[in-house]
Amino acid sequence: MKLIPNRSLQNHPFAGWTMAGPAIFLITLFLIVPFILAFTFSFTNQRLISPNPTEFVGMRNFEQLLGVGTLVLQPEVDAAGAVVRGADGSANYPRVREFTRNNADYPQLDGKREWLSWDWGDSKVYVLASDVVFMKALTNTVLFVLFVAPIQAGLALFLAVLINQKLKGINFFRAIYFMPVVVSIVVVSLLWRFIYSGQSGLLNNILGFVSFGAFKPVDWLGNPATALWSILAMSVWQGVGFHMVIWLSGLQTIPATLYEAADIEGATSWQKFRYVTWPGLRNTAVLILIVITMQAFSLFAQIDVMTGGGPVDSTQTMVFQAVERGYAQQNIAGGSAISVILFVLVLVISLTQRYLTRERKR
Amino acid sequence: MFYDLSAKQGVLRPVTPGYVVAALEFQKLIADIANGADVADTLDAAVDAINADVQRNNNYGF
Repeated sequence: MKLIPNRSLQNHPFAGWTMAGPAIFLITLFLIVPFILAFTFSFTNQRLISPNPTEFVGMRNFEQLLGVGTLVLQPEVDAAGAVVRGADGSANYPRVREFTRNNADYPQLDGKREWLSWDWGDSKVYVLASDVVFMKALTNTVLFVLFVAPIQAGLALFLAVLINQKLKGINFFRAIYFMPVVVSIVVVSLLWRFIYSGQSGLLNNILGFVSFGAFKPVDWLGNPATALWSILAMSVWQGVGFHMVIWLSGLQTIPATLYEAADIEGATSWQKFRYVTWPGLRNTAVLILIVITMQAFSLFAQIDVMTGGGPVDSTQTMVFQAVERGYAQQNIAGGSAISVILFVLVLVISLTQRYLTRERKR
Repeated sequence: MFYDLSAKQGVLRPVTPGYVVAALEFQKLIADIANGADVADTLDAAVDAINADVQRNNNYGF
C-alpha cells in the first residue's frame, strides 16, 4: 500500500515553534530583556534623557547606595576633664557634620550622613551611611514585610475559617471581605487618606467619639512615628481578602470525613484546628507566606498616593525610591541598582522560606 | 497687573539642566525641615545630592 504523504502543517518541524512564537517573543521582550537590562544598567551611569554617552562605572552605584561607616564621638569636656552636661543632664557631643564634611582626618566618612545613633556609656556611636534615604527605605521595607506577612496571613486565615461555614447568606460575607481587593489600590489609598486626615478625618472623629473627646486628634500620615504604621494597617486591610480566598480554597480541600472522625473522637474545636486543619493547610501556608512577602516588598502605590515618601523619609520604600530615582531624577542606573538589590533580597528570602518550609522526610 | 507683580516678585529659576533634580531636592528639604528634621543636616544632604547629580552628568557640559 502506498503511503499518503501527510501534507498537514501540524507535523511540520517548525509548527510548535511557530505557535509558541508570539508568546516567546512577548515574554522575551517584556520580561527577560528588561530583567537583563536592569542588571546591565546598574553597572553603568545610564540616564533617562542625556546627550552624554553611557559609560561603564563598575560597582560605583552599589558602593554609593550601600556605603556605611561608624563614628564614635566623645562628649565635650571642660578644662578639668569633666563632662559638660546640659540642664537636663545630657552630655554635649560635637556635630557629626564636622567630621563628615571636608574633614581631612576622616576621608572615609566624607559625604556620609547620620543613619542611626545610640549611647555607649558616655560616648555616642553613630552609624553613617552615604545614602541615608536608601538605607531608610531598606529598613522601612524590611520592617513592613516583617509585620505585614504574619499579620496579613493570620488575619486572612481567621477570616477564611469564619466564612468556611454552611450558613445562610455566607456568600454575602465572602463578598464583603473580598470587596477591598477588587477596588483599585490607588482608589483605596485616596479614600484612606481622607480617613487618616489630621483635621477632621474619619478615624480621628471615631476615636474622639468613642473616647468622649479625650482622644487628641493625630495627623496619622503627617507624623513620622505613625505614618508607616498607618500605611501598614491600610495595606493589610486591602490585601487580606485575596489571601482569605486562597486560604478558603485550601480549607475546602480538607475532606469533611476528617472532621467527622475528629468529632467522633470528641475533639474540641481548637484541637480540630490544630491537628486537622493546620496540617491540611501546609502547602497553602507556604504559598501564602511567599506571595505576601513578595507583594509586601514591592510596596509602592500606597506610598506614592498617600505620603510620597514623606514625613522626613519615614515612609520611603525600595520600589518607591527606584521609581523616584529612575524617572523623577532621571537616573536610570541608580534605580536599576536598587531594583537589583531588591531582587537579590527577595530571592534570598524566598529561598530561605522554601528551605525552612520544605517537606521533611520522616 | 501681572506684569507689575512679576517684575517685583518674580524670581528666575536656576539656569541649569540639573534643575530637574535640584527642584526635587528643594521640595524635599523644605518638606523635611517643616516636619522637624535638623536644618543643617538636611541642607547638607540636599547639597550632596545635587552635587552628585551634577557629577554624574559630567557637569552638564559646563
